[in-house]
Amino acid sequence: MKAERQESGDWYYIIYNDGGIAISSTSISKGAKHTLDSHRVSQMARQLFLNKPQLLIDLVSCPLKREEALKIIEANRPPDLPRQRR
Amino acid sequence: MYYSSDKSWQAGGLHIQIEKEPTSMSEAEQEQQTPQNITFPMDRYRPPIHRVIDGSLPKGRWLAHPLTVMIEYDDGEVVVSEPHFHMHASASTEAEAIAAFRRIFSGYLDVLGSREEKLGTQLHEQLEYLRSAIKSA
Repeated sequence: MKAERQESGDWYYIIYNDGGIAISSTSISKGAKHTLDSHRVSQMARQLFLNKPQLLIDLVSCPLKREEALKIIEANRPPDLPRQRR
Repeated sequence: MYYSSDKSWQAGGLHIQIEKEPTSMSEAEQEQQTPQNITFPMDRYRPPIHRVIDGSLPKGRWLAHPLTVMIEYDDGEVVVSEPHFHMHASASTEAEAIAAFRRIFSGYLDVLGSREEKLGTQLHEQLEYLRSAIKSA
């Protein structure tokens, strides 16, 4: 997915679109189990703007490609309007 | 058959006590028999609950107002999450998971704040939410 990972004890993952805009993120807390249970998969999927937990599973196990995942994420989040300078 | 919940439910399992079928045994004989207690793994389910957290965060920060989080239990793991942006953390106990959530929640302020100019709308809204929810000294 080419996500940017920031490690600070916990892991934060930032996903950028092809225009370099950070469009979604998720995290894994330090000390969490290495296997993801259903609740965590569900929370991570919602946080990433993926429709269903199964899409996250497909993304991690590769049937879902980055380009397709970006389309789903972009479709499920509010459009990026130009930000007003305050 | 009836279902009973007791303190052991919190340790991970409802007990189902199976009533004995009517027999020709006397009541005294029946009382001597040990009741059959069976615990099914599927009965380890614990419904999600909500808790309100407040107070301190790492790096000398604190929550500006009480925050309602959802606590979900899974096999050997507790997941704590907030409802707006689904920020979450997990650990093996509820106390550890809440501590991890405080760390993650506060950490997101740094992670998103350092990328502010690159954030899309939703992540920018998340950053604004964190700025309103977190106070610093």
